[in-house]
Amino acid sequence: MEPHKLLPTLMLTTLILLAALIWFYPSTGDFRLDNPFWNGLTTFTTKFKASTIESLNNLPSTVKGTVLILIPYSQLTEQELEKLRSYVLKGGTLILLDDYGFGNQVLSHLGLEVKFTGSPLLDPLFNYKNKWLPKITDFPQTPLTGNIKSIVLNHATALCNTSESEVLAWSSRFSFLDLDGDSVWDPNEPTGPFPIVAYVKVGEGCVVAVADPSIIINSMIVLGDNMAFMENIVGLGGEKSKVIIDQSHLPIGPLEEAKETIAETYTLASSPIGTLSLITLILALTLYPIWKKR
Amino acid sequence: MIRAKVILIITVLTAVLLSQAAALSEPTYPPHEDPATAREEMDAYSFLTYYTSILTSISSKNYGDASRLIEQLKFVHTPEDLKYIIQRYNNLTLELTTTLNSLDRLLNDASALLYQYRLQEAYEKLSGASILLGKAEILLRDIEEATATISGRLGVFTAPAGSRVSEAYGRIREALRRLRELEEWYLNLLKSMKETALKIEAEGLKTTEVTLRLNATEAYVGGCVEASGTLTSNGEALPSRKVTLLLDGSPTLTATTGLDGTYHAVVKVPYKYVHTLTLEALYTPMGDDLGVYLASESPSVSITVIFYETMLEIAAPDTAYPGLPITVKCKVTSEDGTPLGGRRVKLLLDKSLLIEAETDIQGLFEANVTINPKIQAGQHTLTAIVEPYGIYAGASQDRKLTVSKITPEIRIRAPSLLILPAEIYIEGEVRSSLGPLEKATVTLELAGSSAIVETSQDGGFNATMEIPLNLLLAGFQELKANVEPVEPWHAPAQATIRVFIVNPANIGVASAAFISLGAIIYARLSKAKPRRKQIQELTPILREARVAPTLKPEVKVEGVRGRVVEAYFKAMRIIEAKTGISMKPYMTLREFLSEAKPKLNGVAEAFTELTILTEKTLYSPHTPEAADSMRAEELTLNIWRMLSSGAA
Repeated sequence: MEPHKLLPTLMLTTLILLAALIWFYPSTGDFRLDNPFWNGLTTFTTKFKASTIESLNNLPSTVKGTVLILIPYSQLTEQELEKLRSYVLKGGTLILLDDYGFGNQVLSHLGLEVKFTGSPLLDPLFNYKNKWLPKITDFPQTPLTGNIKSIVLNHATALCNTSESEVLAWSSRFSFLDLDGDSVWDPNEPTGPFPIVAYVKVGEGCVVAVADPSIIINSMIVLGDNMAFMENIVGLGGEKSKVIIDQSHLPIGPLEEAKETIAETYTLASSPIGTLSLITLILALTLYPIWKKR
Repeated sequence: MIRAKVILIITVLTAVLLSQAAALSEPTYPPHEDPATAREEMDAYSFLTYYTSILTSISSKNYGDASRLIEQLKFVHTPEDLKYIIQRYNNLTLELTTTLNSLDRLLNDASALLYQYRLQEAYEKLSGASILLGKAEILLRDIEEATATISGRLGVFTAPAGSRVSEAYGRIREALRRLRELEEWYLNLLKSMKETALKIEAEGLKTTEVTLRLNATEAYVGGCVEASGTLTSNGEALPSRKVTLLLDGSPTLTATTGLDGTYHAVVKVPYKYVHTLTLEALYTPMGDDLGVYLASESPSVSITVIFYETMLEIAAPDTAYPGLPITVKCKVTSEDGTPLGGRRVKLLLDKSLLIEAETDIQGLFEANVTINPKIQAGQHTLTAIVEPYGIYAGASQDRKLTVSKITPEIRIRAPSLLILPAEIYIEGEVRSSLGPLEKATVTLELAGSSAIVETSQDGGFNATMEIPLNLLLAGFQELKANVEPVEPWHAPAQATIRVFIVNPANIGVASAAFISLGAIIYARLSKAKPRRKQIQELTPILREARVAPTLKPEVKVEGVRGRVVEAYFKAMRIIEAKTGISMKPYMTLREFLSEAKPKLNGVAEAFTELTILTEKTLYSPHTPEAADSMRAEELTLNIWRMLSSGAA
């Protein structure tokens, strides 16, 4: 085949092959519902029959009996914050999982004192393998923590200003906040115990702030009593609460972007006009050389 | 070859692009690490500090705190290579805590007994304490050695002097030293108590004897027995002394001896539904008797306790459903079958109280209890407990109760054929053995589309789903209905039916592709056909050329193509003449080449090229150009020259 014919063919084939591979390759993004790897949420999703929303505009109109899981890794708009406020005030349960993201933006908008410190919480003694994976073993006796012995965190932070809220979990007195990021405790760095999970009633609903979103990823949900703990918290929404996970504020990797683009292209192509255009294009491209020769 | 290269390029390109895509998809700021591959480490400073707290608690005799801290050690991560040694260390520390705690209690008991001049019992306690102290000594030595070993494994000895780790090690050594001091303290205490005991013995105190008699060896529960006896010392009565009566080892009452040293008391048999109780009389010197008399204890006397057994029968269904009531019936009777009314009955499910009520005059108890809606499906234990009442003992009975959920039945009605894009109307009902399911959530899924509806009062549901165009061409698709009931006694259920879906858009695309392919193939074939005809026409010419080489072909192939063919004819004739090998009618150009080649020597290469060029001209879609005809003629000329000159 002549080079001027080979090149477009090769490009087209590669493009189709690549698109197919990207489409069928599972998502690898953090906290993605369709990510079956260690950092995805497939186990959590299956266990809680969770559904996903790609925008806070898609929050259910009947909020009672629903639990919204929000991992705010990107900034929220005023409109989104207002949607969240309305959701909670009307009786929805918001589980806010954050470590170094924009959780405080949500808490401030809801008028709550409790905040995420945003500094890494390390525990050199009570941990799973190393100090970045602190093990939490101090739980006040509440219905939400009665059956919990330990939960394991992963690159977490801590909460502060929890005076108005009910703290459900505390880190050990060996934990500390690594303010300068050198992974070693320095005399000016605060030491534990720190509040890790706090519960606050807001309007008819409630907010549970958890200082680590990673406790629900596939590799972490099976450690310690993480699953049972999440079951208890999700149970706040009611006996058969419907779990919704917001995916619109998660970090988007190129793979997710590519998948989205392919999905959009597919949606476009599957519309009647798109399909007709596609047929016309195929016919035009294939029949043009024949028509030209004649 | 070209195809192989193309595949190779695509593979490499795809692999590179994909690996890049996967790598780029990682977030810039990792919020976590994979715990499976996380590096294991143990912080020597924290570990030693924590252990210092434990040892300090022990040395301060806060054994409860120490045990709690040791209990927490299970949450400390220990690397695999240190796991065993640290586990042993933890066990040794726990054992030392328990031993010292027991030692403390024994010494306290011994002290109290010595104060009461109960020498024999005090000696027994002190003997036990000696054994425990020896054990504690061994354990402490082991802990000291283990501390050094673990510290070495944690790199304490290689840490620079003055570092945090070295300081922590210094503190744990100090805690161990204080433990040694505690051990010394216990040893001294033991020695001092033994000396006290020996001193009391040496004082030659007068022995005492206390006796105990009962007016009856059998008594009803809640009833009374009269106890009496005498307190003497070397046969001499001891009046106005306090004698304590111990029921099963616990003081129950105190009697005072009379002038003749006798005492009397009425002992009430407690409402303890055991068949035997033991009673002992104890004299301990007090006041002026201290330093004069030794304590004494009477031999124990058994009392047979009489009470009536209570019979309990329980009737309950074998299966229960979460959130639904069950009826439990109990019958309470005496051993001879007499109904026992007014008896308090408790009903428990897995040790949680369901209901508490009294039996009626016929000894019957009936209750409708609702099973916890959150209960897990499976085997559970239903327990009925009848409280003891007067001379009647209590009774309890367990019964297995299977908790399960009812699986509803789903009926779906939908069109069996669907042409995309389309709206599909689906309806159906959800029912169980208890009737229709109301307000159940029905999730319908078909060909990537879904709809969620709720069932009405009669269990019916309906939905209209829009099915857009998709990748399907045509075929059966499953219409799934998942039902999530609201009632806790119903289990989620799923049903499917098959719908044949036709996607005209995709059929159109596929048809377009087939039409295009067909058009291309047709064009190729129609191009190739005349050439085949030309060859057929050329065959007689070739044959003719062999027989009469001078004759010109009757059918001419014109243009550039004709010139190439003509050049080949010329070369062929020359080769036929020189080699004596002739082109037979059935031969292809290539067969002629392979037959003539061994005799061509120097011109083999040129004739091969000419043959290929001619083949290309005749059989391929390639349109020969002027350069091709010139090359053919050049090759023919070369062949002629070389064969004529005899160079070949």
